[in-house]
Amino acid sequence: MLVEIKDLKKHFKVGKNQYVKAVDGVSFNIKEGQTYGLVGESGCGKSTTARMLIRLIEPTSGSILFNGIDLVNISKKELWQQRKNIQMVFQDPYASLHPKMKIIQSLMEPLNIYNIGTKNERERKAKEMLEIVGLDEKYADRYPHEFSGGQRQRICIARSLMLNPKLVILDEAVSALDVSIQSQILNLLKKLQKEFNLTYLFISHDLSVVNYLCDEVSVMYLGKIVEQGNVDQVFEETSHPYTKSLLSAIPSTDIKQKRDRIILRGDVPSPANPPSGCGFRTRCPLAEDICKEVPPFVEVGEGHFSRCSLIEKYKREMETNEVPTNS
Amino acid sequence: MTTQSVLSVESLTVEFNTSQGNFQAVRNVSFELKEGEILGIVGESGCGKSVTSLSVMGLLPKRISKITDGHIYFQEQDLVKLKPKQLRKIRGKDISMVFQEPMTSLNPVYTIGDQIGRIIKNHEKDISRKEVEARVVELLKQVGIPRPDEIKDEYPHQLSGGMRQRVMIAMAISCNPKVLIADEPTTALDVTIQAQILELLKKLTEERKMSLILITHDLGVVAEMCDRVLVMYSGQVVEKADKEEFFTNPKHPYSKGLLASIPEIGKRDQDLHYIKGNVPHPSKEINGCRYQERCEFFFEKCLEGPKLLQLKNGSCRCWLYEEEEV
Repeated sequence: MLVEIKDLKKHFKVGKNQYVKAVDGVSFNIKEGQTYGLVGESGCGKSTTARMLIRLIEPTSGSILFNGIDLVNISKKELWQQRKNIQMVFQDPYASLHPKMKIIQSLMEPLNIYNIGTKNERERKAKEMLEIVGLDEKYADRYPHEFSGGQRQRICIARSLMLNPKLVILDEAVSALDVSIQSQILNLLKKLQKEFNLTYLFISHDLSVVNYLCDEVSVMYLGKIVEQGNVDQVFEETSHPYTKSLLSAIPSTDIKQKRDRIILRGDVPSPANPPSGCGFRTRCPLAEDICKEVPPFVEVGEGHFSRCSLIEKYKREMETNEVPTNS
Repeated sequence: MTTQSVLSVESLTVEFNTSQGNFQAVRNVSFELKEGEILGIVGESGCGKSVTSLSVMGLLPKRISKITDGHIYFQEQDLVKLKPKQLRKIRGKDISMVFQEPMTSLNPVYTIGDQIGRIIKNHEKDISRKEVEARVVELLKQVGIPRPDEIKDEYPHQLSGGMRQRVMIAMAISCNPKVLIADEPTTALDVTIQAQILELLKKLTEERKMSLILITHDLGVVAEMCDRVLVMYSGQVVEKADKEEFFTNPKHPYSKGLLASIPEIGKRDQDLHYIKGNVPHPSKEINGCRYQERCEFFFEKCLEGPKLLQLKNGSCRCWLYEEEEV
């Protein structure tokens, strides 16, 4: 395991004795060379989780092991060293590049900070990296405003790879791009992963992109993981009602396929004042009285978990009512 | 089936005059909108889809842009020729618009009820305050806002993104428009909220026999919502077709490429198709087809501009096809 996150919490204080539980007990592991997807709607805590992983936000409690090193309890100096191995690409490529720095300066910046190589070596590496992400070396002396969104995201990706990281966190990295450009970047990410043996933490609200890119997925709702498993399990043997409704809400271009859409009523409740028991019960089409109790994280398949009281109930009923069959 | 068209845009050309020079953002765009129809205008950023809709609304930024050619006919009037004062009577009443970003489109210092009421008062001068209030509550109810009596006295910041977009829609339909233009109405929203808003828009168009122009970059949304599709690329219309035809048998290489670029759930093992290169800036001078640099079928003839060819099922701007008789 490259990353082991256990019971990670972030509670923001918003008033006297009032807390927003942005992330409330999240656990997952990322294997080396894999792409791990965190999915959910705005405010579900997916970005906060990612930011805690590189301690841009200090966790309230919980542990983060990266390569066996506890990132929560190490000194600032050690953290600084470890951050070399974890890089991040953000959603908005327009806001992530310094407008007054030439592309090559932006690319060399990580090397300058960690004092790696001579100036010539840094320049050579930056130009190499540009080529790797599919941009011509001649662009090196241009400024960010001269590039389109897709090209800028390529530059941000190049910068994130300058220090040969092990883990790259992609926070909605393709969400701001046009469809035809998005697919270019997705292909590039796949290529780079093979080439550099990278591990990705891919954060997105777009399930079809997650389905395409990721190996393992966690679906988050109101600061908690509601479903977890590998991509096939989560997308094809979907178990949690929230994941089901998310999947059915994606508009599909397949006009022949008739689907029953589950349209959820209402909005996501405020994380400052979440419903008791299951956080999803106020919008869940299946909710019953039992959902007012805290739901268990049930294993529904091998390594496939779902946080739902009803599933546990059905599972128990199935087990007790198991009728002996001929086979 | 011959339903009357409510809006017809004929060879519309819009020129921008910016610090980056003069260029045409919309080039010779024509389309018709029929009664009760949902027309989808699809394209990537910079393709001119928003400029087209702003031209219909008469909301182009005056200092830097103007309509240099073409007509926009609505109820036998040419909107292009109307004076600002005349246009103001139509805008917001007969033709109205919903924008992408509901937070920046609402005034933060007025209550929801105030803002919706103002539009009604603007267009119907001799209406009493009580009537306005009743209308506002009714409208909020229609767009599915809970507790409309209380919400009307709240301010935009007190509402969620989805609710704000509902308020925007309530404003847009407040004077029973014939044409509603929705410019990326769900792009800023989460998927589950997007599904709610799309359902609402569909319901409203059916109930009110309104025509809807839905501008979006999301082909999935088009497939769920629209009757007809108009694909724009770099200021031009490159394909026009009925929805069924477009999604089962797309013609223009750009349409094909776009459809193939979308990752679909359940198809993860194959490499994702992509369109090489970038969308050209509308100011870029290109001889011939504006898609040629990115097209996989490029051949010599493409250096001369193809016109929009009339085909049996729709039309397409590409030399791979020949004009068919309809």
